[in-house]
Amino acid sequence: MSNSHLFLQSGFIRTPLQNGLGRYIPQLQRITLKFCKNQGGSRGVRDFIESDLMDFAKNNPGTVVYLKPRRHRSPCMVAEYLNGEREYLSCHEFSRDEVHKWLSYMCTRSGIPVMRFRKYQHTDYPSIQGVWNPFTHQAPEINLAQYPNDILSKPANQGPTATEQLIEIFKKTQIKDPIKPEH
Amino acid sequence: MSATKRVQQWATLSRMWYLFDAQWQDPFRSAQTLALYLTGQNKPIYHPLNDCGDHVVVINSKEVALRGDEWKKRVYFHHTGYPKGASWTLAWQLHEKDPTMVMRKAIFKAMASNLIRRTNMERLHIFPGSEIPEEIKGNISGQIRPVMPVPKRLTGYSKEEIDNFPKVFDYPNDYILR
Amino acid sequence: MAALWKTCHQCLRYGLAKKSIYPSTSVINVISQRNYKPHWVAPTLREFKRRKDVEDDRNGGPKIFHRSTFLEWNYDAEIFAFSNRLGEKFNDSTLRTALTHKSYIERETVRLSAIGVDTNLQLQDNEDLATAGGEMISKFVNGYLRAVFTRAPEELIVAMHDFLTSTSNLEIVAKHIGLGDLMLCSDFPCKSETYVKSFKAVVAALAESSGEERARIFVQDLVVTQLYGLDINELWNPADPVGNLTAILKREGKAEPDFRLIKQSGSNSILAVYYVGVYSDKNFIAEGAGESLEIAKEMAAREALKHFFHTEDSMKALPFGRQLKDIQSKIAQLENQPNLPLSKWISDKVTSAVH
Repeated sequence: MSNSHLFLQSGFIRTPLQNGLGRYIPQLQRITLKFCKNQGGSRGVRDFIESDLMDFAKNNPGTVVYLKPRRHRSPCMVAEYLNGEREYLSCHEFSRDEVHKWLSYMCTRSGIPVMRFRKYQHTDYPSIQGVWNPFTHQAPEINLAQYPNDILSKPANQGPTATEQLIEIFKKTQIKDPIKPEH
Repeated sequence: MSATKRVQQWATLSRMWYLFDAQWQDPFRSAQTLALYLTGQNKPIYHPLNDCGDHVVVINSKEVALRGDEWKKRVYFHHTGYPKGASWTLAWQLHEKDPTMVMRKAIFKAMASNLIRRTNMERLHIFPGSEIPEEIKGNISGQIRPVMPVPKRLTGYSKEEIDNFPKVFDYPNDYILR
Repeated sequence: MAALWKTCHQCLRYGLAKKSIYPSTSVINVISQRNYKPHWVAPTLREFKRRKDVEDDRNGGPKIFHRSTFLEWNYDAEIFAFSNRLGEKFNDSTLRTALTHKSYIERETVRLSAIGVDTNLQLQDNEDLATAGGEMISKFVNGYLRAVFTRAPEELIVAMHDFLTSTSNLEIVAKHIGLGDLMLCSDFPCKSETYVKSFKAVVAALAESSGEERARIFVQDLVVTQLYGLDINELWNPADPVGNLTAILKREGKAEPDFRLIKQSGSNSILAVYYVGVYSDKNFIAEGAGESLEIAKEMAAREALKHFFHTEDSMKALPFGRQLKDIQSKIAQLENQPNLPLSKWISDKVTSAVH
């Protein structure tokens, strides 16, 4: 027994067939609205079919719309996508607006099953400047260094010590001999 | 996998061998830095599940410097597991017994307590003196800077340098220096 | 038996009544009640599953049905939606021909004659269209690659072309534009070759209906975009990179490549890594890493060659869609004009620059 079906699948954001890179192809290839002509649960679907379905079909000529009346069964919509996925949605007691909303949701989906994104962005070209390695940003002169190295044997960002500062002050206060030429 | 990808992975996950000179360094402060290198936390590719720790070669561990009177006051505890098996060893006693042990224990303590701690510790090579075996020396590809400056001993200055050092006053000739 | 049938019916009704696509939301005001299942549910479902497994085992997997066997299926509407989905104008009869396979016509003829119906079918198969389409795809792909990879040797162009026009790649494209349900063929589940043949025929049908220009854009948008996200240097690498690099540098009047070990780590360990840099006239060209000196040297030479061929990792992103508007005429020109092969790169006078 596995529990994989109990949890949301995870993955990376992607698009079928690099859709949109060359041209955009609407991924919903056909949608079937199943409803009952009598029962109240199908009321919203019937209203939708009566008033909005023609507009929907005109706006989405790439989608085939099938209507399937069936007696005394709860209404549903089945969306089929170009990647072969099929999505079922129960429309029981949906209002007309709700049907419209869910239909446009189905329309704009890519068909890839809903999943938890491990990251909200994805790239096929992770790095154009080269992938990091331990030698990246290393000064080229280190290539020739012998270890232990004199420069690397001192702490980084070390200011002058008190002694060094004193010597510096001492040198500044020295009176220069005007006769002797400076070297 | 193509050759390019393979080589790129090899380069990114390659292990560095760092040298660290423990001469007059505080082992506990140094351990904080060295633990980062041993676990790979200094790398941008670090991830707890990513085995990317580097090797660290510590030399001159005999010369580590403890603060204040820690040599006398610091105690290492060990218990054999048997009744009356507890023992307390002072830092100077431990150092006399094994000059690498103070450094090793400091680094071990600086690393997070988890299952890969001992694996990471295997990449630590400590030598009491400044000599490194040739085989390990050939591997070294970098050096970790010391955490504190190493002062120069008076014996390290030449006679000329000492004579030319600025003085506020001269001692009288009959002044006895103790 | 009747009792079992009744139980089945009960079970089905039970299943349907309880079925909900949404996870149950917790509402505070609802008084929770124990949701127990009757005794007969689990054993009945188990029995169903057992029977289904036996049936599947006998048939070698669960039974699948072609979409056209469904009640809600209208081939005319599907054809209409197909062309609208792609945003192309197809000649209706040509498109139908492109989707009709020889095997389908043969099967239908046999089927109709078996039931004694006149077998004069007004159907044409897509053999000719597929042949023409295959050539077209090949031509368009080559034109694009030569216009974009102006400095790449012909061998690389051929490798990319072979990848793009391979059966596996074209099959993916054909499936993702919805040809699977529309093809009229006798094999089901359809073979890869059937998909590829249909796709090629569709391209030819488009060229026949809307002109070759539209067909070219169609191929660029759907087939060539599959190159995106791919490392093209994985598709082809010169056999002797060091020798080729030496020859190219010599032809350009530069000094022989000088390979220097620039960085290394863990040389005495099993995880050794070496970095070799290529220099010519003391100028750095490229560097390569490897687990041994020979591999690092070869990788460095490969990196250097990428600079000459302008296929390095940091090359410009491939142009697609509207970005191709300006170079369409150039693409059309280069369709039958191969790039220089590697042998010519070495021998002839080619203008190239080391970066």
